[in-house]
Amino acid sequence: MDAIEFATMPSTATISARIKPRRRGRAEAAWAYGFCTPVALLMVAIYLAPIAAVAVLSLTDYELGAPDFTWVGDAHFRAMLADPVFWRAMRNTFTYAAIVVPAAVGLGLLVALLVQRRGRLGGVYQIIFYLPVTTTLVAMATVWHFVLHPQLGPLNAALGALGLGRLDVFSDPDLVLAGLAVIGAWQLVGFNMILFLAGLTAIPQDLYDAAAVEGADHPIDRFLRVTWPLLGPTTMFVLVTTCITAFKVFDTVVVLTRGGPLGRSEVLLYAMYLEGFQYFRIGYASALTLVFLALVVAAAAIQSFLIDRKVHYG
Amino acid sequence: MPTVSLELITKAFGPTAVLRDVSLEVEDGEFLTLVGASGCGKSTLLRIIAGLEMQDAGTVAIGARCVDALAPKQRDIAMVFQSYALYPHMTVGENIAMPLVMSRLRLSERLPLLGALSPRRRAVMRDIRADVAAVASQLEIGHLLGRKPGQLSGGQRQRVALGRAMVRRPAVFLMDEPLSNLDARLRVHMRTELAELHRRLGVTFIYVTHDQTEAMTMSDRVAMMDDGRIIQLGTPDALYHDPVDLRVARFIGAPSINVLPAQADTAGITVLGLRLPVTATGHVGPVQLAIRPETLTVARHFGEERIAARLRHVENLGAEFLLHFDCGAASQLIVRLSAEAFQRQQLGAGSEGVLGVGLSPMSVLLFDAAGRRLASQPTCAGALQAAD
Amino acid sequence: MRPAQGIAGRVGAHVLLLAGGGFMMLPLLWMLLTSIRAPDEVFSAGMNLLPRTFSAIENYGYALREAPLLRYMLNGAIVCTLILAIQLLVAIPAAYALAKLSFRAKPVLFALVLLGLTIPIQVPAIPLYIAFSALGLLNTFFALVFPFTLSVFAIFLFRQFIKGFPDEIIQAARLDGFSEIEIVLRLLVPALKPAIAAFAVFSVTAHWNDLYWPMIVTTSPEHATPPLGMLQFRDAETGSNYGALMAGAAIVTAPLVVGFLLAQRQFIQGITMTGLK
Repeated sequence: MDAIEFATMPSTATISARIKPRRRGRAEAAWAYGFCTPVALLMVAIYLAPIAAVAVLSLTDYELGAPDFTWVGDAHFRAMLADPVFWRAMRNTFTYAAIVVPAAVGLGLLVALLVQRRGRLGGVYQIIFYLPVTTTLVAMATVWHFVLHPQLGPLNAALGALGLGRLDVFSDPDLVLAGLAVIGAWQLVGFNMILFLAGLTAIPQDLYDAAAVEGADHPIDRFLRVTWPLLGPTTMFVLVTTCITAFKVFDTVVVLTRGGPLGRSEVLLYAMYLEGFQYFRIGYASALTLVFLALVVAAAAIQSFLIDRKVHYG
Repeated sequence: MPTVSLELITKAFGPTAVLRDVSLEVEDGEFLTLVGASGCGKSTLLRIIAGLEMQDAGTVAIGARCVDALAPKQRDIAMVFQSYALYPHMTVGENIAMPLVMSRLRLSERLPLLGALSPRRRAVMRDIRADVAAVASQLEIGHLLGRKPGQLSGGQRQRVALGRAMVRRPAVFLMDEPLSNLDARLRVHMRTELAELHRRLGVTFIYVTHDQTEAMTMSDRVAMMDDGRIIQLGTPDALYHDPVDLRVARFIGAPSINVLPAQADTAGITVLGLRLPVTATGHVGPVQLAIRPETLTVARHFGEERIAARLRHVENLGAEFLLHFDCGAASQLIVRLSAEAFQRQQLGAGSEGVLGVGLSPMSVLLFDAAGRRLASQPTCAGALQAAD
Repeated sequence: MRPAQGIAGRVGAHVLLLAGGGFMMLPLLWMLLTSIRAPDEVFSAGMNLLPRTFSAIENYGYALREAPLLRYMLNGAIVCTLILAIQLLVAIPAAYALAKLSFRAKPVLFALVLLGLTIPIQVPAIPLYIAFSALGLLNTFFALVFPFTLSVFAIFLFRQFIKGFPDEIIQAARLDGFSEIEIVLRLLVPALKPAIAAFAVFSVTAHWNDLYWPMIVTTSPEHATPPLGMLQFRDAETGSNYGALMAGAAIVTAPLVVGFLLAQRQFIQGITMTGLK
């Protein structure tokens, strides 16, 4: 009799298991929302609302300090597409990126490969190559300006000693982007080197051994058959982050060239800055901001898409 | 003529000596296993034969020529790694083809873009594909040639690794614990397959493992290693029945051999109060007595001919039983009985208390305090006893 | 150790590395050398390596007097500390919620976090500036700090770490009577220390060196951050006192460089964590 009763009565364990989830779930959610409130509020205040505002502003002719404004629809975008200054800024930005990205990524990879098996000395090299990354770009741009100075800098002194002509990098419209790119790459190589080193150490030594046994012990073979394919995801990541960093070039332009000479170093962000905070043409600057946003998002989207594909295949 | 000949190989990593004067001759076509616990140096020895490590002293010869100065790819060997080391970004077919691509195409023909311009390359690749298909069908993985390693099961990956080794038709196959990443059932299955493969190919296999079952079931000869030296080299039978060192006796055989402290004098051996009619040739004093679980018997009485032991635990393996005994003085014995012997003795429920465990003098192995094997011989009384 | 790599290969590698390393150090060395040179020596052609006159004190003194560099560095320290503190305060609980708690808005919030990872400060800059201007908050520490208080990267990073934290410990803590806040403070924060250290390095470096936003919201030297201060100093000094200019650059760059040399592991860990996305 008792045995049967005991068998049908639900135990306290099952009771609490039935009630707890709902109560615990609600309590848990309450805490979660509480923890996330600051993030949500800040997300709206710093990202969502401003981006919406930028989108709206790009459709107006608002100027900072003006009492009112009118809607101009896509006038800014049409003006942008017809404006040679805009295209010049885009061209400059892409040219800059076209120099910096291969240099910073290629050299970063090369240095990582060279440094990889040097042992303790490799650690010293890593420090040397990474130091530029920690420096304040504004200060270092000033230094670079001095280093590349046509009369006072060591580079031109060396060129002079070798009998070659002097280069006035920042006054020469054809050289200015290259000069900026050198500084940009100088600061990025160490960072990329670290990323590549992380990727290289993840490659199992077994694969190199197997390759050696099978005949791929020439450095080129090892690189082509094992290193390069297995570095794929890392390389992708480094490429995209370097691209995005290159698109964001600003500090060196402000310090060294202010967009000159002849606008040959006016890059997208600098144009945005000028339009928005020097000429106060907020509407047009907002339109430029949207272009910039599109570039950055496109780069990141390409990265996720390609990494997804690699993950599927690997 | 031996295929692989090692002479006085020595290797140290920093201050740690890993191999000490190791010499070994592997006969043509034999399956030789290097077995031992982790850290005994077996993998290092294999890598030295392969040329992936350089020995500090000693010489390696493969097929009667000294290969010390040769790179791994020139030594006519193939290697299967524990992790299989399959290139994850290449298909199965490309993986197996790799050794042939490396050896048959010149560097200029291997480069991605320029290589495609070479006319010879197309013809060579066609031959390579045929060879790959042949090997793949031999291993029954022909249908997997288009897949990537990430899409294969453990057993399939292992076969791809084997195929990659086989396609080179080497003089020697080197295998570094190829089965340890497989689950138990698959491992048993692959043991048979590897043994069959060896018979079919007739090529020398040098196999490294820490699993004594693999060593015993697959090999023609086994070299047991410990602390950088080969302790015993012989057939599995020899290692099992006639170990030269206590370490070999302990390592080989499952369940582990029983080891008991004993005292030897000129007339016989005393172990756990039991007197055995066996003498250690030329040795008196403390000895270690080793005896295999299947050579022991159990009865309900104990006395002069049986050790008193308390039954602690019975393991029922279906076809046989393992009985764990406590025999005082921190000594334990494991006895293996067939199921019918177990039933006959009625050792089922209710077998607490003390039972008698009997040893046969003929099956006893004697070792000195340092673990070296002592020759033993039964006294006349013992010989008579055995004859019964 | 494979059969030895060719000596030529190894020497070649070192030659390349030394050349590259020399290029990396060139501006830093030149900066230091010039900062201790006398002004007239600076103008007499630039190839002699060692300065003949030692003018460190003059140059550095000049730099510190003419531009309130120490003030700038103090501002930088204040801004970076405030930003980091608030970032941690905001991000860690949210990371915990996203990693371990379940609530209906979770997928939406996480999607927003992922999107935010790609958006740099220049995008919301204009509306934020307009808002600060309207509220009269330009030229304040608040304006310098506020836009960076939400670090989406921190949320992402900490979430990854917290996901690896065993659920059982948290459940045991709950049974013991821990409230969720205590779980965060007493269990997770200690476990997160290496991630916090690496992130701190990343955050301080980024915000110490930031130019765009401070340049927009700050016009007075009282609130200028180091890059802005350096820029103003340079604009005032162009063409004249290179020695002092280099001294100024050295002062501004020193904290992070020295910090890196002292805490290399944290810096490098911070980078590899960005890569492990």
